[in-house]
Amino acid sequence: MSSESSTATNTEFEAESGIVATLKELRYSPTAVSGGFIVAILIGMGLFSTIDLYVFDKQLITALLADPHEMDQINAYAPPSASHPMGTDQFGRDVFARVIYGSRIALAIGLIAVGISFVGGVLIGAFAAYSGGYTDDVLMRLIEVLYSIPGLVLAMTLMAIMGASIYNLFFAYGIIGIPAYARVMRSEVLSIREEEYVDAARAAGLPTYKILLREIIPNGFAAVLVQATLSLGGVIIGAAALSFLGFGVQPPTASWGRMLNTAQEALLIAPWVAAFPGLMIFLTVMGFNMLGDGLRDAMDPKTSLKNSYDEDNLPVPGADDSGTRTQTAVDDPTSPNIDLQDGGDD
Amino acid sequence: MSLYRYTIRRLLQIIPVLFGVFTLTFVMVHSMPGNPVRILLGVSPSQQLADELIRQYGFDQPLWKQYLDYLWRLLQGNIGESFTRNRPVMELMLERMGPTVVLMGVSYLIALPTALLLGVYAAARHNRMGDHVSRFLGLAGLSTPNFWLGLMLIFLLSYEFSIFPASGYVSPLEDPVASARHLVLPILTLATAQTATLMRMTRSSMVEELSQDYVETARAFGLPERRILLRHAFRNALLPLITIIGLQLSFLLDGSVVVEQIFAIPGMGRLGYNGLLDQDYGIIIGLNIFFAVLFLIGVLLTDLAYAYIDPRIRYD
Repeated sequence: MSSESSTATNTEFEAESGIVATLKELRYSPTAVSGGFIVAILIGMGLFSTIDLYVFDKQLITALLADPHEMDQINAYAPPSASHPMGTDQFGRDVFARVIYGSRIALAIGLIAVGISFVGGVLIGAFAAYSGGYTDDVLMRLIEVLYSIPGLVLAMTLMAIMGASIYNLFFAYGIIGIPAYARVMRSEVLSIREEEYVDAARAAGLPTYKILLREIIPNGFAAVLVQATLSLGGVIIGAAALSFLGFGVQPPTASWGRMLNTAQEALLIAPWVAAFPGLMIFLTVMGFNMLGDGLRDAMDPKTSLKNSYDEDNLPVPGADDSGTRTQTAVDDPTSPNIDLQDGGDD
Repeated sequence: MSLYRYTIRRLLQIIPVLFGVFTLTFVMVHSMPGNPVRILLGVSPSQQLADELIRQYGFDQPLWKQYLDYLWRLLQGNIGESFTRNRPVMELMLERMGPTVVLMGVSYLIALPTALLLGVYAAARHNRMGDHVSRFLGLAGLSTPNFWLGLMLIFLLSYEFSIFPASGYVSPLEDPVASARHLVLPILTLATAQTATLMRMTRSSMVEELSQDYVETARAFGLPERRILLRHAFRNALLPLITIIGLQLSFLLDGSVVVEQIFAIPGMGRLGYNGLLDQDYGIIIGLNIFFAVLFLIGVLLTDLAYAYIDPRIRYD
């Protein structure tokens, strides 16, 4: 692999410019490039449907395909054909048009929910780790409470309270994601706190908030960013599952999960209504996962995802659940093994 | 600190977390819109009947009193009363535990060996064709939404080719053959993502072990590659995987809710789902606590197994 030797160079000697260097590295990873391609198409579809809906009032999609909300009872459950490439659903609505409009919802949920978890998790995790002591204990216990209830069950409960709507879905999935980010950020900050450059900053007399914001959080960012890319797919599947179970997006809004919910009833006579939205969820999640995988490959092996459950302080030598963190070391025996230095000393 | 004291300390740590889970779910259910009694009795219940139910389940008490009452019952091991089904939640849960446990257990039994095999294979063929294919399959498995996979399996294997039944559950004690036939599709649905996750973990763990110095040493001594893989690297690679197996319980519990819904399996997930639709406070709180307990115990057991197996662990 051509990218690997340069990855090693970057991560070992230019750790400071990590994120930019990593993003540049991505183009050498075929996985990341294909993933990025899929995601780009999806973003295109999402932008198209959003602009179409709010600026042109569904005129563009109607001209190209059909109005995603227009019912046509005579054509209910029409199989795929030239005029309806993916067939029609129980109200005779064009499935293809609805699938395109569904990308808007899927991307919005992914980005907004992950955004909420990201900001919340980074702030809580960094604050807890840097404060240490009692504050750390209390915050992490609260995080553990959220973490110990299986995500979908907690999400269903939250949605039952707040009522099924897309805004509540953003919120519910945003809350559920916080523990994972807080944990990753906390373990990052715990090790960064001991780094020499933090000592140097402290010795130079920098105030605490500056040390936190300028030295610590930016250096812990990389791991959380990988976590974000990798969890996007999971959030999209989870939110679709909620809609599938009837707790998420409500009709007539076209969302992939909701489309599968109604398709379930007519699986025997109209399998296409279930097949295509599900295929789109699969492709979307695959795209994000490939991108995330590539990102992690290109990333500093040292800052890859730490153990997802480190509350108990069990030192876990080399227990990182990252995909391919030591690719470099395997192929190139001369490259120093970074893990030997940081394994298990947190 | 000894392993014994470590175990006690970890068990004690679970208590405040469960207290938090209870408080959180209690606050959540009581902030639900609507009146559960009204949902139970229909649109126009007789006032007398409604009053009776409200008194019976203590909904007329102030909230703090309801909270303390509930907590007191919880400390006695009663996780709640279902007012739509008029029975203790624990009883309902235990009744429906069978199908869920069978589903999750068999799923583990299938996912784990498959994942280990594929993961070791991929790591052994690191960066060659076999590795790329396995990685792709792993990513694809991880990216497949289980509810869609379930529907497609029903369509293909039960509607198009009538090989397996589309829904229902038969206890393996009653009729093992029928039970197995009913379980194939739900388990495929549940185990796919799990296998993919475990396989990716196995692979990365193996790749990491194979990069260690002792593997180089073993190679230099001329040990056969198969022996290095299985006797040396694999044993060490298993350690981090143990932790993951406990954490996966969370995904399996989530998955069981979806799978039981699609395949109409009368398990705990379905009970919880119906409880949520009925706004049955007891079932909702009970479900959250029960699942949290299962998850925390699972994580504790795997951590203990880990600490027991790996002599390098410090218990502090």
